[in-house]
Amino acid sequence: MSTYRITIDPGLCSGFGACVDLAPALFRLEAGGVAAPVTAETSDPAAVDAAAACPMGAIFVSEVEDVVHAA
Amino acid sequence: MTGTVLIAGAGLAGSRTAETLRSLGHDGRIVVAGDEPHPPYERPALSKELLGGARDDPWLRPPRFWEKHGIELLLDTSVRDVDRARRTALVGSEQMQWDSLVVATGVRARRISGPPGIHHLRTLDDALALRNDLDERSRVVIVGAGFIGGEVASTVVGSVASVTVVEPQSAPLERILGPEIGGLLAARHRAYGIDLRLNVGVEGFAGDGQIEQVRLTDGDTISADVVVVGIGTTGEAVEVDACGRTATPGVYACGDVAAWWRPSLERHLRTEHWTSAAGQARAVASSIVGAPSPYDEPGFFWSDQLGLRLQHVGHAETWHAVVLEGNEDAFTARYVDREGHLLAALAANSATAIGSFRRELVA
Repeated sequence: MSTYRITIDPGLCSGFGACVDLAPALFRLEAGGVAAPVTAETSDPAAVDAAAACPMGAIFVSEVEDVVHAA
Repeated sequence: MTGTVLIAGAGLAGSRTAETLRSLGHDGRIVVAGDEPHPPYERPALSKELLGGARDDPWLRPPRFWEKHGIELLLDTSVRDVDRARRTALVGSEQMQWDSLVVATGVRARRISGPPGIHHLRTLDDALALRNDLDERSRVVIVGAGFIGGEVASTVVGSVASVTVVEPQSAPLERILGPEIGGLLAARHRAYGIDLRLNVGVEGFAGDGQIEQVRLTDGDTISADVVVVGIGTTGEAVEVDACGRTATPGVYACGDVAAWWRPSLERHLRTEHWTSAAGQARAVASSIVGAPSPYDEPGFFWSDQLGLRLQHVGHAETWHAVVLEGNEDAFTARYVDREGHLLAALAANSATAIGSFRRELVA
């Protein structure tokens, strides 16, 4: 299972809300009208769908590599 | 979920249908055939970052993405001889049997021919050819003050010798945004040093082996080294329901080509917006996997030009009044009907207003 890290570019986000519609568990609209991730990391692939649906391209989702501690 | 899905068109609508099919668990064959030589790319970037030289890789996904997800991406390949009864098509040179066919072939730029130096802007190759032709000595004439014209003018002004925009309407984007906003945009063009010619059309082009002059319908001529034509698109629409289904079972359409049934507007509507293409692709993929879900979102588009980020939501061909708020550098415009209900809204450098306009439209 992958872990995804979610970041939002506040300069691009327009509070359109497509992410909140698609993944209400992962995104919310802040009082100022822009979206914010509810959690910085998630295993829910809906994060990827939400990023793809953002009309401003403001959501970045990166897959976090499993950290392997070398001896 | 199995079966072969053939997707004609490798733009946003086609490629997004393919990847959504995979994320919804479709494990049959998926073939995406595009007639351009490039993998799926972000078309909105062409008149912005790509033309401006800020970006050379407008790919929607990294190059290996398609193979990794088992999506057969066939470039330089068109889909012909579709037989809807036998469910076959000629894909390149392969006779293919399909279970689902998605028409996502888009539209073409309306083109005008003339001497070399006349450009259009629809494809990545169009954008690269235009960029290649421009330098600081270029006298650029743009035909049409629509979105393409406005973005190209805004991107190149300052790095070329001169920019002239020729527009038959009395203001830029007048049909979509109305005379009030159009007038404001006209003033902005001029403040940026763009020679804006309104209420005038193009009569013809002159040049021996290379464009030299643009002749206008008012008798004037403008010297030009590069001409960019942005006068809209052409193509036949495919009518579908709110889930992207045509009247033929197993055949779907999405993106610019689709005349999509909009329950909230009680009519079919064809839109050429990134957001609709993405949303419709998702709806088509859902229909194919047997979980149809209607898409009926207000249209949304945005454009960066002349120091303004313009964002528009909704759809209005006519309206009763425009309610303006703000100043010329940051404003909103509400397009309302006789009862004051919101039909569409524009936000200029007022980003977070657009979210609340959208919520008002769907309420």
